[in-house]
Amino acid sequence: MAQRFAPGTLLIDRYLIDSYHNAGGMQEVYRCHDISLDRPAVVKTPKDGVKDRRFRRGAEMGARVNHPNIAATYDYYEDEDVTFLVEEFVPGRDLGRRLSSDYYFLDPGLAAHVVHHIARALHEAHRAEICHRDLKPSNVMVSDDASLYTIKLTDFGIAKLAESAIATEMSEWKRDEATLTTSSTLLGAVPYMAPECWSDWKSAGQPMDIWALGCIAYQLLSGNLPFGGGAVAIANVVRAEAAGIVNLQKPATFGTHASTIKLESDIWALVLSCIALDPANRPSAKQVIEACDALCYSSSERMLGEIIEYGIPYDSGVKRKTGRIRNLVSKSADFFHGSEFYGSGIPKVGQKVSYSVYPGAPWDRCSPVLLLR
Amino acid sequence: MNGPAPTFELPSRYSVLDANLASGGFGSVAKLQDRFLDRAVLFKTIIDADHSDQLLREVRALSRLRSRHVVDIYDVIQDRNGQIAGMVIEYLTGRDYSSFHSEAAKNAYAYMRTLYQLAAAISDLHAAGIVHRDIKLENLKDSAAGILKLFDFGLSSPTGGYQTVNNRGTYVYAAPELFVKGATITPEMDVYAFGVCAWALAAPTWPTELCERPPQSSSKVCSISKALPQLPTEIANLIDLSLSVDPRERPPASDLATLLAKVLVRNSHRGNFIESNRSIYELSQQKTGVKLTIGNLGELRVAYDGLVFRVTAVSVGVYANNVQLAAGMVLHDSCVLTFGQPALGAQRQFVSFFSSHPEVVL
Repeated sequence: MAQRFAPGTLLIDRYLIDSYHNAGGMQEVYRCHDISLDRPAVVKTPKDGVKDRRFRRGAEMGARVNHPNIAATYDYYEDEDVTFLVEEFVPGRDLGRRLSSDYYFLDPGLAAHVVHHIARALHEAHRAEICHRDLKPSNVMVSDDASLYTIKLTDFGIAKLAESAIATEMSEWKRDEATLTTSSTLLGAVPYMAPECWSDWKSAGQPMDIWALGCIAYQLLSGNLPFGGGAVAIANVVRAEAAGIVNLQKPATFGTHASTIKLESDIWALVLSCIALDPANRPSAKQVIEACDALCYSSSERMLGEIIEYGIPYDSGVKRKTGRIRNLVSKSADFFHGSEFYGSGIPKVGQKVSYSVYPGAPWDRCSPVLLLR
Repeated sequence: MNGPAPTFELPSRYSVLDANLASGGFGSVAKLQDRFLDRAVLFKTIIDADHSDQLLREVRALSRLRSRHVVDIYDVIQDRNGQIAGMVIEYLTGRDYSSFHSEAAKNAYAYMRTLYQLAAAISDLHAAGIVHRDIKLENLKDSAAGILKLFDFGLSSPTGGYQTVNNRGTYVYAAPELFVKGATITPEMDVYAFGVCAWALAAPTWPTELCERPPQSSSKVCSISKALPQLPTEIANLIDLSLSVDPRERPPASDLATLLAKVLVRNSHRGNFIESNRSIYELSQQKTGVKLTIGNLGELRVAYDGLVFRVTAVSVGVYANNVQLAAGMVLHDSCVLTFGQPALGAQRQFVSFFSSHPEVVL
C-alpha cells in the first residue's frame, strides 16, 4: 500500500518525516524529527488520510492522560489535505513484535514487571474516565533492552477510530462470520476481547481493559493466546460463557521451577481474576496494581548472553545440571543451574538467553535464565 | 498581558483562558486552550527582549530531556523575525508544595516521597548534562496523575564551566560558593538547593544560618532531624550532607534518589526460602526472623530489617552461591543456599532463596 508521507516530507513546517515505521489496522506510523523542539517524535496518520472526527477525538483522549507509562500526546493537526497526531517517541518496539521476534514466553518475574506497568497506565487512564478499548501487545511500546525497562501504553488515538471500525465489523460478523478476514481491524483485537463486547460492544467499559490485560498476562507467561486467535478465540470465549467457566490451561512451565513456585501461583490467581466472565467480578486497575505490588519478583537488570557450556559429565559419567553463559557485551562467563532455565527442554550450547546475575564463587550465578529466539 | 504589545501572534489553534495567570521577572504565563487537542496548556513568554536567551535555554533544556518528573513541552511560538517568543508547556493541575510543611510532621512517608521525586528529577537533569540553577519550592507541582514535576528552566545551563554573570537564582536556595564573584555553575549547586527544599518542605521558617549571605557563614545549619525527628537517620544524614558548605561533600543527585527509593519501600520486601518445589518459609515485616536447621548439616539464622535479609548467625558449611556465609552478610535477591560441605557431595541439601525487589509506586 502506498505510504502517505515520503521520507523528507515536511509537515506544517515543523515535522520532518525520517522514515516509515509501520502500519497498524487503522493508521500509518512514521518516525519524524520535530524541528521546532529539535527532538524525535512519532507521526501517526489515519490510513485513508482524511479528516476524521474519531481520530481527533482519540487524540484528545490521549492528550488528557499524562503518565510515565503512557506515551505522551504532543500535537494534533488537520486540514483539508492531511490529518496527523504527534506522539512521544519511545525508543524500542511494540510488545507484540518483541514477543514474536525475541521471546517464546517470559519468566514469571519479567511478566510480572510488564503487567505491573501496564496496570499503572490503565489505572491512570481509568482515573481520567478513559477506557482504552483496544488493549493488545501491539499497543504497548517497550524499550529494546533485555529488562524491558520502559513500558508505555499507546494508541488511545487509534483505539477511538478502531472502535467504530470494530463496531461495524462486529455487526457484519454477526451477519456473516466469513467477514473476519486477515485485513480486518477486528482480527487484531479479537484475542483480547472480553465476552461482554460481543453482546453489547457500546456499553462495555473499563472491565474490558482488565480482561485484555489478563489475556496479555497469560500470553506473556505461556507464549500462547489464552483463547487462541481469530474465529477460534470467539468460539472459545462464547463456549466459556455458555459453560459459565473459563478453563485455561496453566502455562506448561508452571510448577517446574522451584524458585518461582510461589510467584507463579500468585500471578496465576491474578490472571484468573482478570479473566472473569462477569465484568463485575474483575478487579479494578487499582486492585491489579495492588496485587502486583504484593508479587515477589526481582526487577534486577537483565543482560544478554549465550550458553557456552551445559551438562559437562562428572567423572562418573553423570551429566552436570549446570552450565556457563557468556555475556554478549562484557564477554564474562557466569555460572547457571539448569533449574533456573526458562525454555523448553534442557539448555543447549549456542542458545541466546537473557539473565540477571548475582555474586557467587568461583563464578557469579545467573538467575533466572530466559531462552530467547 | 502586561508590558509592551507583543511582536507575535498566537496561532489560531489557541484561545486564551487566562491572559495573566502569573507574571514576574521578565515574563508572563498565560493559560490557553489548545483547540486541536482540547486541553489546557500554559504559554510562557518573555516580555523583556534582553532576556530572550533565558527562554531559549529553557526550550532547549525541556526539548532534550525526557523525565517523568519534568514538565512536558509541546510547542514554541516564533515572533515575526523568527525568534522564539514563547513556549507552550504542560499545564499542571495537581497540588503545589507551598504549605506542605504543615503535613510533613504527620506524614514522613509523603515527605520522603516528595523528596524522592525531586531527587529523581535532578538526577535525570544531571544525567542529561543540564543544571537547573533555580530549584525551589515554587517550581514544583504535581500533574493530575499526582506525579511531582519540576518546571521553570529559565536559568538552566549545560553542566560544567558555565560562569554566572549576575548571580540570578533565588537567594536562600543559592549555594555558598555562588556568592563568589564569577562562580562556575555546577550540578552540586542543584544538590544544595535540594537540601534547602528539604527544609522548606519540613518547616515553616528557615534556620537563620541558611538565610545568611553567604549561607552558613556563622556556622553550619543544624540537622534536618531537628525539624523532623521521625525521619530515618540515613535520610536525615543525606539531606544534611547535601547542604554541606564544601560542594565536594554533597552526594550526587542519583545517590539521593537511590537511597530515598530504598527507604520508601522499607518493610515491603518478602523473602522466600524454597526447598524441593515448595516454599518452606517466608520472611516479611510480619515475620522478620527464621532459623533454618537441616539435620546436622548446618544451621542458618536470617533476619529481615526492613531493607535487607541479613545473616545473623550461621554454622560452618552453609553457603550462598558457593560462598561460606558469615554473620552480617546480606542474602542476594536470588541465591542458592547449600547446607553441607562440598566433600559431602550428594548428601548436601539445597535451599533457594528469593526476595522481592519492590519498586516505588507513584
